[in-house]
Amino acid sequence: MKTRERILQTSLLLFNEEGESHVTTLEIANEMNISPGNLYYHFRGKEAIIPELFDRFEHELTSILKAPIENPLSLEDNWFFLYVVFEEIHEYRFIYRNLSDLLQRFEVLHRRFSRLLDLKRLTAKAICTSLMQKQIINIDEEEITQLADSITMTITFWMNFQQLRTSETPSHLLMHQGAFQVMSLLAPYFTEQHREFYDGCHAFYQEALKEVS
Amino acid sequence: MSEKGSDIAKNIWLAGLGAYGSKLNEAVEKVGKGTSKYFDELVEKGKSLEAETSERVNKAREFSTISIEDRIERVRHGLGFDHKQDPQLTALTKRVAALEKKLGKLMDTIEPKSKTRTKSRSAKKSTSKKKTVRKTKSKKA
Repeated sequence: MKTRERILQTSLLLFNEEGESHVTTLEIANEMNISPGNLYYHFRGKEAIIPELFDRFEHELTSILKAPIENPLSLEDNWFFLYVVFEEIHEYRFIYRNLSDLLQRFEVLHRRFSRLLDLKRLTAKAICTSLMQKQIINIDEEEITQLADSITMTITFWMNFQQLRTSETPSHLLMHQGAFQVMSLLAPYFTEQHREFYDGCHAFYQEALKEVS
Repeated sequence: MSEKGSDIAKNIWLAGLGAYGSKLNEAVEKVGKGTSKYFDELVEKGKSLEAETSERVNKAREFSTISIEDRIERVRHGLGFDHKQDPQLTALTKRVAALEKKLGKLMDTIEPKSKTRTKSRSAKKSTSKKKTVRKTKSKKA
């Protein structure tokens, strides 16, 4: 792997594990066993690394979020889709961890993150609308807007919220919790015929909890 | 004229890249020796750096893009919800179904036989004939 790529991957790893603000370029260079000068040759400090990592995150999350807007998923795949979204956020969790601090320091990223939030809302709306059309959930247009906002908020802040409650939650449990939390937002709207799908998710979640603890 | 102009501009840019790539004190040393030679050297250096730069730009474009279908499939698999059946299992299911069918036919041949047996002894000849015929049939199947 090229040094440049290794710098990016090592930075991502350290940012995620220790929090971006606690990691210096010197530590990144040490972790990789390269000289700080070599790192500086590729990136002039964290200010150059962070936007590039954000580029990748933005690119990947955008293509994920656009998928259900362009092609509605099956009921079951929507549920798996939630896991994909949480996985992606978890992969770049350093961005979410100190969100306001990071976005304050990088003015450009602020606007771009807002756009990602808008896209999350659009995706949530598209999914809810398709579920409504298939009569899986019983909901009206206005309620969809509120529901989409709640879903967006849960997706965006779930991991922070869990981290505040208990610092040592294993990552795969975070995914299960997040996905089920979103499902439970939809729960009141499920029609009688499709209620069993939600019950299935609930049972699955209970099993996952047992496995972890 | 314009071609020459753009050539000059390109050379200046390449020289700039070359200067960027070399150490400052090295540059100061060489400036004293002969500027035109130094300029050529920088152009050469710039050329190699240019190649490197464009390569890196291309690399940066290669983001890891896995399709959403693949990612959903991976999650489905990871959570243990595989719908695609194991080919071995499907083959076995087929064989079981075929064997059941055969068994059903065999049972058919056995049951009428036991019934005819209790009927009368005079019909024995014809039933035994029937039996052998059916047996060969079932073997073929």
